[in-house]
Amino acid sequence: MATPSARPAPRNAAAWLGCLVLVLAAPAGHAQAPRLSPSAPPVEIVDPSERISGNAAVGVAFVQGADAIGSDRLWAYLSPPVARNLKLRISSIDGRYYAEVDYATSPGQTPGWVALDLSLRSFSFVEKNYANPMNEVAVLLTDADAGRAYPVRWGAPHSTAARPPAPPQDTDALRVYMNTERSQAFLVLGGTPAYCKDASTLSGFKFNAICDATLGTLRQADGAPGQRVVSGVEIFRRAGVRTLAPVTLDITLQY
Amino acid sequence: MPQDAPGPAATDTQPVTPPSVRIRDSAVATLKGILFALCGWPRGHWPIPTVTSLLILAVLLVVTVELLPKRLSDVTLTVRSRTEVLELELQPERTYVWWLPPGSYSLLTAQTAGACEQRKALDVVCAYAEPTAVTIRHGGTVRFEVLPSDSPQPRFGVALTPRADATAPSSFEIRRGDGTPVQTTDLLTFESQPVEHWRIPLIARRVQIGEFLSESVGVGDGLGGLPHEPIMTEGDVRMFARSFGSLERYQVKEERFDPADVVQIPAEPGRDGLLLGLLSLDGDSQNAFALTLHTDLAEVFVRRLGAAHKIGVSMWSILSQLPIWLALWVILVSLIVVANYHAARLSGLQKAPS
Repeated sequence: MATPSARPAPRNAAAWLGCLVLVLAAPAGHAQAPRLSPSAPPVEIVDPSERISGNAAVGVAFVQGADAIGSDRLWAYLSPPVARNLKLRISSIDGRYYAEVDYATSPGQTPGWVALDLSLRSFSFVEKNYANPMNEVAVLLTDADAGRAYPVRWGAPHSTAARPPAPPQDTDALRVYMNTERSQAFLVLGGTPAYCKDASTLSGFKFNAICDATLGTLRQADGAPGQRVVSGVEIFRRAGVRTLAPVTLDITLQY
Repeated sequence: MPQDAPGPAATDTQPVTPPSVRIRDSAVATLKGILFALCGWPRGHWPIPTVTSLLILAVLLVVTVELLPKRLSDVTLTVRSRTEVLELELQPERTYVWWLPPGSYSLLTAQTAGACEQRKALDVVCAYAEPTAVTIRHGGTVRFEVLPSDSPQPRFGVALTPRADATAPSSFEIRRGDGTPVQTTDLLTFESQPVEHWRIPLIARRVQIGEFLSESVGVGDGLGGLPHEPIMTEGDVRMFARSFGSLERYQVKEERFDPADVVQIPAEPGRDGLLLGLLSLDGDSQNAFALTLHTDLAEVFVRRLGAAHKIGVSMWSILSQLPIWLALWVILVSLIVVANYHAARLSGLQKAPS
C-alpha cells in the first residue's frame, strides 16, 4: 500500500471534546443503532499536489439503488471475529480526496450493522465534486493490524435512522473497487467470468474499475445449514496473454 | 416638444386623473419612445431603420444563428493521432472480420479448442505462425496497445471484452485458413509478433484515444526497466462544414492535442456515434498506431488532469466563414452608418430653426 503523507487535520480540542461528550451523553432510552466514533483525530488529504496511486483493491461496499453518500450515512457490517482496531480509508477515484479514520471496538462488540461516525471536516469536498460518488468514491474498512476487510454501505442517515439497514441477503450486490493496473479484471461466479467495468470517465488514479457480484454468487456452497458465509473474494487479472496473480480480498462475511 | 408649464392656480383647478388613465398614457408614451428609437416613427416621417434597430437586429441575428442546429451545415470532424493505446466500443449489429498478424491468443474458455492448449482453468493459449482472422459478433470492447519490442518492428496487443448483454452475448472466432475455428464468448487477448506493416478499417460507436499516465503507475514490463506507460503522443482534430446545398467542404477549426491527453468521442458519456476510420502500425510509425477517424459528431472531449474540456464548433464560426455571410455583414454595417448619418443630419435640421 502506498502510504500517503499523513497530515493530521487541524485539531480543535474543544470541538473534539464537545463531540465526544455529545456522543456519550446521548439519551440512553432513545433507540439508537450501535455506533463507532473515531478513536483518534482523522487524517484528511484534499487536492494534494502529488497524488499517490492506490492498492489493488481500494474499497468494498454493499451498493443498492437508493444509496447515497453523506457524512452520517456510512454503516459497517461487522462479522465475527470483530477486530479490536479498525481503520477506514476513503479514496476518491482521481486521488483528490483521501481520508483515514481509526476506530476502536469494545471487547463485546456485537456483530452486525454499526454506524460509523466520520467526523471529517472536508467531507463536503466529496459531496460536491463527484457526480457519481457510488462509483467514484471507494471505502475500505479493515482490521488495522491485518488485511481483513469489512464491507460498508452508504445507507440511511444515522441521525434519522431508527434502525440500521436490513441484514444482507443473497441478492444484495457487493462491489469491489479495483486498481487493475491496466489489466482486464474479472470475478469468476459459478465458473463463469463476470468482468469488472470502468468505474467512471474520470481519471482512474486511485482505482479504475468496479467489480460487482451478488452475495449469493460469492458465498460458499458448502456452508453449514442456515449459515451463509462469504470467505474471500478472488479477482482474476489478465494482462495481454499473461495471467497475473489474482487479487484476493480477505473478507469473511456471515449473514 | 416644449410644453407650457401650468401655473399653481391652474393646477388647483385641474381634475384629478384616474390611475388607470395615467398608466395608459405612460404606456403609450413608452411605446412611442420605443418606436421612435427603433424606426424614427411617429415623428412626421415614414418609419426608417435607425441605428438602435439595426444594432438590435444584429444581436438577434447572432443569437438566432448560434441556436441553429449544426446538422444544417453537415458538420463532420476528423481526428488524426499517433497513439500507443486505443479503446473502441464496437457496434453490436455489425459483424467484424479483422486480420491479425502472427501471434498468440489467450482465452478464458474455448468452445472448440482446435489447436489450442489448455494450460489450466480459464487459461487457453493458441499460438499461430501465420496471420489469423478474428470474427466479432454482437459487439464488445476492444483495446489496442503497442507493446514493448526488442526488435525494430513494433508489436501490439488486442484485448476483446464481451458485451454484458444476456440476450445477444458477444462471440469471438479465430480462424486460420481452412482450419477449425476457435470460438469463445469470453475475454480474448492477443499479442502479435513484430510486424512490418499492419492495418485494419475501423467502425465503432465510441472511442477513447490515449490513457492517463497516472493509470500506469506501478506497471512493469517496459523497456530498460522503465514502466510501460502507453499514451497518445500527438494528434489533432479538424472540423469541417458544408455550405447549404453545396458538396464543397471547408475547414472551420483545427486544434492539436497535447501528449498524454485522453480524447473521447462522442463527448457525452452515454451517447453513441458512428466513427469510421483506419488503424495502422508499421516500422516507421515510431512505435505508435497511426489512427484516422471520421464522424459526423460536432464535439470531442479531451481529458487531462485538472483541465478537461470539449472541443467543438459554433454555428457562428461555421457561417462566418462563408463569403455571403461577409457580404451580409457589410450591408448591415453600411446600413448602420447610413442610418447614423441621416439621424445626425435630421437632428441638425431640427436644431437649425431655433
